[in-house]
Amino acid sequence: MVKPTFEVFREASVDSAEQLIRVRGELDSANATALRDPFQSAVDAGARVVLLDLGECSFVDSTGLAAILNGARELKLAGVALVAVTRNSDIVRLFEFTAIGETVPLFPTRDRALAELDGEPVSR
Amino acid sequence: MSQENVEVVRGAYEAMNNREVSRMSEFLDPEVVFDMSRNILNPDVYRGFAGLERLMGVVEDVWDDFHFEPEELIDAGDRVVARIKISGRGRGSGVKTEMHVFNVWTLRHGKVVRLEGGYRERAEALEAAGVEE
Repeated sequence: MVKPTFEVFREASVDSAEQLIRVRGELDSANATALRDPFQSAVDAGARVVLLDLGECSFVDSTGLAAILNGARELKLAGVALVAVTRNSDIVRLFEFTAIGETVPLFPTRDRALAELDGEPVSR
Repeated sequence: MSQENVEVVRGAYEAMNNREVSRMSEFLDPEVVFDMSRNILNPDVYRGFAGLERLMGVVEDVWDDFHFEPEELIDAGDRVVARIKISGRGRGSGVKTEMHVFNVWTLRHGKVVRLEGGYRERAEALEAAGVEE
């Protein structure tokens, strides 16, 4: 089977305070460090919130999760919140099983995440 | 012999809980295979002591204070079926998580040669061990 191409995009399409980083493919030991630069760029751009969109991410391993956790810690030090978005049931189970969802809240869609961040309580 | 196998498995869990990889040679054959392909996290097959270290590294990537608690060890001749409670604190969050799984251990000459982890149901673990309920 051909491994899905891994790509990370940072999109400043929401506004400078809400930065979007999209991950495609498999986030694993081969590329987990690729999240560092987009996280830093988001901070430099004045982000208050980073949405990590894992909607097109097919697999996350322990190093990928560790990279997300490390990113959340670094962002928090800079006063920036990190939330993740995906409907992928395997990734949702991973976030629940490892309690990472307690550090990086996970939402099924960007709209739900943004609504929650704007103070409109929504059920996940 | 099979009760001895149960004690070997108990010792292996103890050594894993204490992160005593060097002590694992008391319990594991050097060619041991850890079939973790049913796992949610890093499903894979890990081989030998190096594989065990890699597996423990996976755990430490995401949990602090990770612990196995064997709640029931079922003697099945050259196999042992273990019902274990897995618990840990999420790295970063400190939030405690727990889950129950069944593992099937296979032993030869008093050492573990294979561990099949991550069975969710007792019946499938017993079936894998060739035990009829």
